[in-house]
Amino acid sequence: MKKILPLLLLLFVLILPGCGPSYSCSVSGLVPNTIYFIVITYADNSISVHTLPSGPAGIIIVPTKAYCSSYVAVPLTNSNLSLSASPTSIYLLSPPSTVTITGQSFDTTYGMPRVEYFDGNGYLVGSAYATSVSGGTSLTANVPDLSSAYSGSYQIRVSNKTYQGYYSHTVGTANVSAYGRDRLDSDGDGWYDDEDCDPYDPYRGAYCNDCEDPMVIICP
Amino acid sequence: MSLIKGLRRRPLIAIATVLAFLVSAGIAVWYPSRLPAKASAEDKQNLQNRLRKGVGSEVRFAARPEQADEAVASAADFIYWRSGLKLTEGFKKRLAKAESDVLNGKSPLITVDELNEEMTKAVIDRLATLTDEEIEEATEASSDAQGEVRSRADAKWGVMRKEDLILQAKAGREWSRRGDVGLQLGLRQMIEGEVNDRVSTLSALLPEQFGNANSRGVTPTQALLIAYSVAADDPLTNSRSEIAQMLMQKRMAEHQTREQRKAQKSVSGSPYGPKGLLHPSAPNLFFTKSAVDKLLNLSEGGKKQ
Repeated sequence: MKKILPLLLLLFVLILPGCGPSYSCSVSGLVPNTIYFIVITYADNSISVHTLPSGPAGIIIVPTKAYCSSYVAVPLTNSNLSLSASPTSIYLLSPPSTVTITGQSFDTTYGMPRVEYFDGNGYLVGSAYATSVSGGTSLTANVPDLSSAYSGSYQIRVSNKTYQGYYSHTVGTANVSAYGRDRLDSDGDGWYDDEDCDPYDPYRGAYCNDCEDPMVIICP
Repeated sequence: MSLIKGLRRRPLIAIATVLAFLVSAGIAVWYPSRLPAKASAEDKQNLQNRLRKGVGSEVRFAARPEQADEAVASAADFIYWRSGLKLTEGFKKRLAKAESDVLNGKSPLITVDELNEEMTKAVIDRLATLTDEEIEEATEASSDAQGEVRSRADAKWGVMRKEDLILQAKAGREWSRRGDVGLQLGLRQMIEGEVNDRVSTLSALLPEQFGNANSRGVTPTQALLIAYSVAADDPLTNSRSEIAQMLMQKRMAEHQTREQRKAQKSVSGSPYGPKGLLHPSAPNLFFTKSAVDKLLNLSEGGKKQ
C-alpha cells in the first residue's frame, strides 16, 4: 500500500477539479515590503486589480482565474505632507465652486493631480482633478458634488499621476470643515439615516448582515 | 518525493486556513498591525508599543485569584470588540474558575508544549467533523472583496481562490477521518510555529504579563488569548482608537463611499473574525465547546495528574 500511495495521491490530487490547473500570476523583482497596486490583464481583455504587499523577497503571487497575459505592478507611495485648503470652511447649502490647495510636490508631468474629499470616517464623498497647478506648490480644483455630504470635518487628499498612468503617489492631505446640513437620525436609534438599515425603524440598526448582529457565541 | 510533499501541502494549508487559520488581509497588511517573524530593534520597539496599547492595556491580567473574574471579563470584552466572538456567561465563569485555580496553586500553568498539543488535537478533531456547509461558510467568512483567501495575514502560505480552498479543505477532512499521520504532523508543525511565534513575541515584549510564558507556562485566560490570536490571526496590537483609524485609512485607500459600505452585507463591523474588516477569518469554527474545553481541561488538572 505504501508503494502505491504516492501514485494514488497524485491521481487523487489531479482528479480534483480546481487542483489541476490552479492559476496564479507571479510578480517578481519588486521592492521588498512595499505595497503594490497590481493590474492583471487576461487574454479575453478582462482585468482584475489587487493591492498587495511585496513581502521580504520582493515577490507577489496573485491567484488568477486564468493565465495572466500581462500585468502592471505599481508601487504605492505616500509623501504624507500636510497641505492647506482655502476656504477652510464650506457651507454645504452653497458650496464654493473651487478650492485652492497649497503645499508642495504637486506634479503635472503625467496628468493633473487628483483631489479627493473624505468624510470624518474615511468615506469618499467626491473627487475632482486640478484645473490648474502653480509652481508645484498650489493647485485649484472644482469642488465636487457635495449634495449628499453632511456637516463635519473632511480631509482633502491630493494624489499625483505617475509615469505608469495611475494615481499612485499620495502627496498629502488638507483639512476642511463643512456645515449647514446635519446628519439625521430619524428613528432615534443611535444610527444616522445614511448608515441605518431602516432609518424609520428604531429596532433595526446599522448596516451589515441584513441588520443582524454578527456576533458569534463561543460555547453556546 | 518533493512533488508529493508539495501536493500534500496544499490541502494541509487549506485545512489550516479553513480551520480558523483562515485569514484574508487584502489591503490590511498595508497597516502596521501584524507580528513580524523577524523584527529589527526599531520594529520591536514599535511592536512593543502597539502590543502595550492593545492586549497589554485592554486586558487586565490577574495577579491574584480574586482578580480572575475581572481578567476574564476584560479578555472577553477584548476578543468581542475585535472579532465579534462573544463568550457566554457560563463559559466566562468556568474560565474564571480555572484562572483562579491556577493562581492559587490548585492547578498548574499550561505549558507551551501542552498548548500546542491541545490545539493540534482540537483542530484535528474538529477537522474530521466539519460539514461541507461549515467549510463553505468559513471560506466565505474569510475571503476578501476579490474572493481571495489569504492563508494568514501576511499570506506566508500563499493565496487561494475560494473554490480551491473548499476543495482542498474537503480533501484534508477525508485525510483527517482516515487518521493520516502526515496530516497530523504537518498541522502540528504549523500550529507550533504560530503558537511559538506568539508566545515568544508576547513574553519578550510584554514581560510583565507574559514573562513566564516560555519558561513556566500561561494561565487559562492567556491560553485563550493566544489561541484566539492564532485562530483569527489577530496580532493583539493597537488600541481601539488606533484600529478605528486603521479602518478609516483602509476605507480611504479603497475609495469606499457610504453607499458602497451600506450595500456591503458580507462584512462585519469588527476588524478581525468572521468577515472582519482588517483580517477576515473564521475562528468560530475552532472555538467550539469541545475545542475550548480541551484548552480548559489542562488547567482543571485532568490530564496532568
